[in-house]
Amino acid sequence: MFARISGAATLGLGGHVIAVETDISNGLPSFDLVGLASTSVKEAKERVRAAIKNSGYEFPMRRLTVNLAPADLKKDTSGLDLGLAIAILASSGQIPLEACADCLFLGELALDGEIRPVNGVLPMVIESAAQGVKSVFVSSKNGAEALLCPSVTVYTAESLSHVAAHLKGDAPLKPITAQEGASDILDYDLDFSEVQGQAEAKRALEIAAAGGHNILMIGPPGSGKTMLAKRIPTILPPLGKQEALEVTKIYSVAGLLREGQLMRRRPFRSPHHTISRAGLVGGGTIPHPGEVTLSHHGVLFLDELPEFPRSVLEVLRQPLEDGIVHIARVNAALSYPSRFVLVAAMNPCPCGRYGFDDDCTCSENNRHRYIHKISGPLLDRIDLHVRVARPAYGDLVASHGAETSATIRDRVLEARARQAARLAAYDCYCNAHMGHREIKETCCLSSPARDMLREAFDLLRLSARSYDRLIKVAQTIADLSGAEQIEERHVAEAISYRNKM
Amino acid sequence: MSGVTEETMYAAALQSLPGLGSRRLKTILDRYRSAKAAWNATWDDDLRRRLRFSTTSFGKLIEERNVFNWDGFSRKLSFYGVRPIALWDDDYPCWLSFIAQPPLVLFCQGMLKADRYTLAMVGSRKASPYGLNAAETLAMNLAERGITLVSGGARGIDTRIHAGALKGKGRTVVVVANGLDRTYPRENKRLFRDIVEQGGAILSEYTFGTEPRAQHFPARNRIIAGMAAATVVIEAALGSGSLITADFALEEGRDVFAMPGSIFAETSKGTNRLLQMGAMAVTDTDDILQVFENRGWLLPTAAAEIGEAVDLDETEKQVLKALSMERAIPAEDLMLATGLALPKLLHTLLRLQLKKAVEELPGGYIRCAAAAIRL
Ligand SMILES: Nc1ncnc2c1ncn2[C@@H]1O[C@H](COP(=O)(O)OP(=O)(O)OP(=O)(O)O)[C@@H](O)[C@H]1O
Ligand SMILES: [Mg+2]
Ligand SMILES: [Zn+2]
Repeated sequence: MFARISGAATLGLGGHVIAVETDISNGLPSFDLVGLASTSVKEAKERVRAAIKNSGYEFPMRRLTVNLAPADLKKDTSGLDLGLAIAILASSGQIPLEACADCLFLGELALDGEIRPVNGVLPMVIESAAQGVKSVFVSSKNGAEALLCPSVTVYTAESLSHVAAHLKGDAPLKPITAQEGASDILDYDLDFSEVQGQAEAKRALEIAAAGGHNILMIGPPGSGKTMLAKRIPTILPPLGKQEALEVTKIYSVAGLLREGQLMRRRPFRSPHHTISRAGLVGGGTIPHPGEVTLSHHGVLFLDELPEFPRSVLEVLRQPLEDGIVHIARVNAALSYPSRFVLVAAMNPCPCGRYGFDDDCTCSENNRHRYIHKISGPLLDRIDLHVRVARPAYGDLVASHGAETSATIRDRVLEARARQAARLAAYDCYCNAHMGHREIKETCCLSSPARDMLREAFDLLRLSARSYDRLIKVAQTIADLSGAEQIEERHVAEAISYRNKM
Repeated sequence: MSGVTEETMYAAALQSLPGLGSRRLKTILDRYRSAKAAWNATWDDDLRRRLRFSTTSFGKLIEERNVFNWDGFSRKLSFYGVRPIALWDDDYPCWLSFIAQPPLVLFCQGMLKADRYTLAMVGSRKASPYGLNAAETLAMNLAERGITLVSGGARGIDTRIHAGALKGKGRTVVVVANGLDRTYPRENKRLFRDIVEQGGAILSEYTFGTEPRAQHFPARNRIIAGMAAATVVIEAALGSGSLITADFALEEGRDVFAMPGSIFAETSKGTNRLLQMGAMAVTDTDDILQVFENRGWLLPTAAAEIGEAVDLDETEKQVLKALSMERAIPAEDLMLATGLALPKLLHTLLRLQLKKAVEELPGGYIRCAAAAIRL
């Protein structure tokens, strides 16, 4: 008998509905799985066979053919196990096929029939719902995540036998409902008020957050660079609903979603400098999202920037430029979103003291070599450079409170609103993403600002390439101060955050 | 090459042969009376013995002479804008011709004059902000008074001396230890070009293709000291190259000045020692100018027009007061000292930079004496 059941797989960040078609006919006992299945699906055969037997059902000893359609999709998920088992039970008449209509089955099976959680549930459920699926069966650990899609009924089950019993009508499962109490409040457990002093660095970070600018912090060891960087997400605007869903999908596919909660915090990723290119931008036979994608809508922090191999940093150019990474593979060409704020930190020299303490022990040559390890094209995409000096003792023990993240974030939000309004007609929403055309058409400088810019270019020998970057930063500073146009003081401050290397 | 005599060209070619330094070149010229004659003569064993060459290296030398690429040499001279200047030429630096072993030929980019008002200024590559600031200030003031400065082309003090001279709209000369077809350090390319454009020069004793080797530097230092009426050492550690330059100056009977520094600073140990040994202390520009005047040399009064006084507003004055001339102060501390909000402070600091009264260092901001004096 023939049966068709819905399962799903992911490719990149997209979910795809997979039709699991089974046919049982007379003939020598066999089990054929067709439809370009990857190794993990082939292993599924063995798991499914054992799970069915150990759940008190019969594995048909006839000629069994399974087709996974569409055939040209590279499927890489053990999440098809459950659908496979249900399809076999239905086509062998052990459960009624009608009961499986409009249902999606997602889960990996253990040999004893237990249903295990899988990655990528959210995008798979969203896509299935769009294609008419009404009920979803998943492991209890995937329940909350499946519920993020509001238009489906979610059933969670411990094992294959529970699902089968439900479908037969013997022991109906109860649909689960969203747990109340999962608060909407953004609670980062970090706050800017914990950082004493550091007015200059904090101001630069506020500008970075307000305009979405990439930033480089330079300072001696222990000056608080890492501490500052970790707090940037707390002053970025809260994730919008759409953004939150996008981020959650990414983490779902990467298997990093904890307890199936919607991601409300902006991601903060800080890969170690030993990371590979594939780890950074994504890779693998079926490409997995890399750190740039995991930082989508959040912060990618590269600590000790000069320690990263040049070849690894070079691959950041595309995501920094386009907010997207394309990964070409023989089997698939994928794109992952990767719109993040790059925050980098470095010491001023190998010993870390140059310019901040008198006893730097590095030779001129060593210092130059250290700084020149960073690729120029990468530096060109960093709008703000800021010094982070070691805080004075007095700052550390000061009792007067520093500004809280919430206060700073309010200013950031206002500045963002101005940008969004000004850039409404364009394909971007914050100053950092403006291209040459947007700058020309939307940024307006007062004439003293223009004069100062011209003078500064001559005297400070700024490169032509830094021009656009300066205007963008000046525009953000103007937006923070609520000014209608870019004034001299905004330009001056922007210049003080220029690349000084 | 226009204006270069045949004799000078032959001298330049001779100096380009491997192994021929100023001592040997003098022997050759003494024997043949002219560079052209020397080039075309048959170089016999008698010459070899006088030059103290081994047979093999002498053979190599003759071979090099025989295959010398005149065309290529002339092309490089014009490509790099280099003019050879020989001991007998009018624009050979006048002080230099008096030293024990003057270079036969100087390769020169830019302009040389036989001027007497030259002053060598040297100092270490690794200098303190105090040293850098002083170097630039002194150089600027001296240049404004029409004095030509001479120094090396290294990072640190050397670079700041030339920068100061340019600010003072004066002439400055860089003496390097490599061929003029290359630039060390690379980041000074633009500085060197500005120097040439402003009437100064880049000089070298070495022909094209020569790398700056450690053994070239003492010889180079003799040219720096030799070109100048007096040598000023800004900051120098014990055993540093700047002290070698001072030694050359003393041997040639020229005046040596040293700038006093902190007794704790390694970079001032050498200069403080010079002072102890009797060098004249530099406390301001006049200390140096005085010596020139004592010798009866009339200085061209303010050859360059002195820049008009910079006027500062109250906030700028307030920030300037909070700054030091000896070390960089981070913006953080300036906020505390002035009570200004950061955006306002940064704005003021940039305006002061545009007025050349402040400079930005990796660790913060420093007050430039170079401009402050004129306030
Ligand atoms: N401004 C500050 N206010 C409060 N605590 C601080 C501050 N700066 C540094 N600290 C303390 O010092 C520790 C070291 O700071 P952090 O690790 O951020 O320095 P870093 O600049 O990243 O150093 P490294 O270059 O060694 O990575 C922090 O964990 C914090 O406890
Ligand atoms: Mg750190
Ligand atoms: Zn160092």
